[in-house]
Amino acid sequence: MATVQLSEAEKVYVLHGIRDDLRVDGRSCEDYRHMEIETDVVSNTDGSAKVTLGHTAVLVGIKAEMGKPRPAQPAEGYMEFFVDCSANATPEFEGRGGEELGMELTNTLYRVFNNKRSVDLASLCISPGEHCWLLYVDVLLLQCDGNLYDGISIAIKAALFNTKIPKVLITEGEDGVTEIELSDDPYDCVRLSVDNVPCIVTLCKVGPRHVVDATLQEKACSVASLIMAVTPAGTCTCMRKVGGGSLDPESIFEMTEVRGHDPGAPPFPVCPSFFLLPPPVPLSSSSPSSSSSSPSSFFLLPPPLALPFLLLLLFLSPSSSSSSSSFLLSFSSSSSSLLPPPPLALSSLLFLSPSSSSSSLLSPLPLLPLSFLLLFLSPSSSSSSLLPPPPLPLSFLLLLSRCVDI
Amino acid sequence: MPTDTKRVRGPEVSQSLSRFICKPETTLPSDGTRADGRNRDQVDVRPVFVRCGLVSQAKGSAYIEAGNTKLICCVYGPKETERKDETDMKCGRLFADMRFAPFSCPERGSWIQGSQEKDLSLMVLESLQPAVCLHKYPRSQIDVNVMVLENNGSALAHAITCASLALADAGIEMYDLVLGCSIRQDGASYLIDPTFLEESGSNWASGENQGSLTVSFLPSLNQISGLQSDGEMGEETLTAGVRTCIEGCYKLYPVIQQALVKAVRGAAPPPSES
Amino acid sequence: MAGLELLSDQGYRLDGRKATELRKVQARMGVFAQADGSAYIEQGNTKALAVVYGPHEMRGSRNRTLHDRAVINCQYSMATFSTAERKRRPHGDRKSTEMSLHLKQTFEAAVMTQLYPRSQIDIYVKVLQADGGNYSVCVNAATLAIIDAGIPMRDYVCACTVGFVDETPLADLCFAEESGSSLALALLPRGGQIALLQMDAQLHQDHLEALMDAAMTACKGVSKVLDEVVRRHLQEVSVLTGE
Repeated sequence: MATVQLSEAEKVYVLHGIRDDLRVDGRSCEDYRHMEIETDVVSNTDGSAKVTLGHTAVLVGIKAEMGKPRPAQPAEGYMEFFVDCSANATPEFEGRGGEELGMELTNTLYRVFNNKRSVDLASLCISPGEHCWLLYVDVLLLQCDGNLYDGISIAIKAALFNTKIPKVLITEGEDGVTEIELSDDPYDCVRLSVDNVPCIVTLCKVGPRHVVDATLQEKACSVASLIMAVTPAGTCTCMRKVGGGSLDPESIFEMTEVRGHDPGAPPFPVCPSFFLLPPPVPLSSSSPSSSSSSPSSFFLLPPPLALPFLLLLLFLSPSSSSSSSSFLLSFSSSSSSLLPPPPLALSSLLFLSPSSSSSSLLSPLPLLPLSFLLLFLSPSSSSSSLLPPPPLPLSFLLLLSRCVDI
Repeated sequence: MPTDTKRVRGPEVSQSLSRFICKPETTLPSDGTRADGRNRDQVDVRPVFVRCGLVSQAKGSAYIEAGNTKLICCVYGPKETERKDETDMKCGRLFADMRFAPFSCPERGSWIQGSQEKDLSLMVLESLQPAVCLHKYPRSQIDVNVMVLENNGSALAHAITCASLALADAGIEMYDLVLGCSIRQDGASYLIDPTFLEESGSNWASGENQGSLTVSFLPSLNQISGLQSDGEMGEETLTAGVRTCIEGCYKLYPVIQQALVKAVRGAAPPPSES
Repeated sequence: MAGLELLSDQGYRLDGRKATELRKVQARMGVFAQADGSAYIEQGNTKALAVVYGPHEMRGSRNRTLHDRAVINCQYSMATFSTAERKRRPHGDRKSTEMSLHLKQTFEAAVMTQLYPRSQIDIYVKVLQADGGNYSVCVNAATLAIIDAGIPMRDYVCACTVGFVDETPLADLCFAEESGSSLALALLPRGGQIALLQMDAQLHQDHLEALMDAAMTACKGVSKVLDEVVRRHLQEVSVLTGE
């Protein structure tokens, strides 16, 4: 793993802080950092998502290809994972340096999804024994600041939610040659159900306590950590201990209990997405009024898990082409250390409440220009600047995912 | 996976016969005894045969047989480390490597280390690392090589046990022996120390609580040094499974200790007359 | 591409641009906090991310240190999902190595390396979506990233890929148009100096002059855009830090 070297004094400082439930950036032991999730960022793929967790940034792209099913399971499709630790994250990953870490992450992902209930593989089958859909899940690490497993699992869940697999028609031509037709309509596609896709929670043991969402510094002080992949139903699909230390059985039992109350699992069943792009119709020229009151109201949102959520939106817009989904885009002023926030803008949205469970939340609104106030009031001190003066205080659309019920 | 250019390989498209044989019902019978006469829901590990000191060139070695699972482990070191980073100055490094012989599993594997083997090697490394006193071997490295000769279930658990025994046989200072135990959860009941048929994933029925769990444990210190689970299980099942594995390790401990004592006695010089 | 006209009779290309029109360029600097300099650029549908670390002490083999200037180390890689067909290896194949070498040569010409003897500057470029003109977009992204890192350069390095269809040079090719002849040019606009020129296609000698001119004009256009991006970024930064 990309590590930082800490002096003994720094380690003692971190340890003492954690013992008193106060971490270096002010969080408590069970708080996550500020998180942003965005889907549909790369147009070449069938589904993609980008997750930023503090300084850790992960981009996942999913491509669906047709292939032959595995001989052992002829009536199912399958998923192939690949984690690319790019040199962007740290110079140590240049060339083949990132391969070891990439391999470890890939193997864990295989194990997490190695059960019948996470992803419905039978729905990926086109004709048993002959054709099936292969989902290539490619994870790209853009920035590494600890807690890679969590970020990757959330991004995969979001990307799977965003994946659109075209519908296939198989016809028997003459001479028994099967012909495969893909439907031309871009909206005629199959979406995957991500209800059971697990999210990974990493608990690091630092001193006598465990912390959630450890940064690189905290990881350097920890002995060992426990990774758990948890499904919304509360079951655990994979549990692993990583690190070179040993753990007391009692602390492991304690950690599994914590996981039960942890924010990790449920919050992302409905995939959030928000877009950072100025829309084709620029309405943003009007003076941005700073809505100082709104931040606080916005902030009430977060589920009692202290997860600052921004905007969770479901977006399906036919009008905006792939360009609308490009991330990192904005003309906005924020050049803070956090990843690009939000735009000055408004985007016009077309809501199509998809068949997924979130339909209850949205009333399908026609093409209304709405403004999103994307607020970064992260509890951590890292955000220096707030969002660019938010545009018109129009309605906020807050999509509360199921997590709020928790 | 890299291709192997040094060996003459069979045709690319060969398939194992087993795929074409009409197999009987492959899901586990859900009640009563298991295929080899042991019971479900009881901490009934297979009897184990252990020997140390088989490979004379290696500093330390061990061989373990549990049912039909046979493994051999060799330890080389401590020797001078090849990569000199700053971190090597204070404590030594441990390298672990676990391989399956191609003839070990029912379907032929390959000589090149696949990603699953790399994953298992990492697990062995993580399990052994807390137990070895690496600070006593600065600037050196210790190599542990495990080879699975026949895999009839629980290869990882026994590999960990075998590796720690080989380390002890090599005279490397350790805090405690590391023992491994694995368990297969099948619905409401569990099977400890599963055989290959009981363990393999394609047998998983689609029900609640299907999974497997491997734990590596330091008995005298009561510390878990490695934990890995697979499949989907509830929280209480997992906790109960970990406890069961710990019990299994305790059951195995005296046997391993005896084997080690025997090996040391055999190697010790006869007491002098004076 | 059978049936698709790269340049229609009215002078419009596949995506509706005119022959000398560049794609829309949108860029941001300073997207990653941990790197010394970073930039993200989108030219049409091609998206690239560049990250710069350095100047720092030479990592790895110390014997490659140069006593009078800095060593520039580039890596070009593409995300596996960036192309229409999934790419198996992100980097390490021949094309990526060649591109890395080209980038290195380009920036060795532009960066004032003699100010940092015995050190190393790492430039890592990642293509997130490839839709033509990969090399040019990477060069533009790397320029912005180097500026963001505060490393002095002689001038902006602007690059553009041009092609030749129906006696007309086309500026800033997209993927479909690249299958014909394509010429990549990296230019230091103020002095009109060429950092890198690469073409692999069959082109009649008479057309070369016209193509080069078109390329230089396009690069100068790109340099205006990049300049604006940099100025805007500086303004924002200075506003935020408060002066």
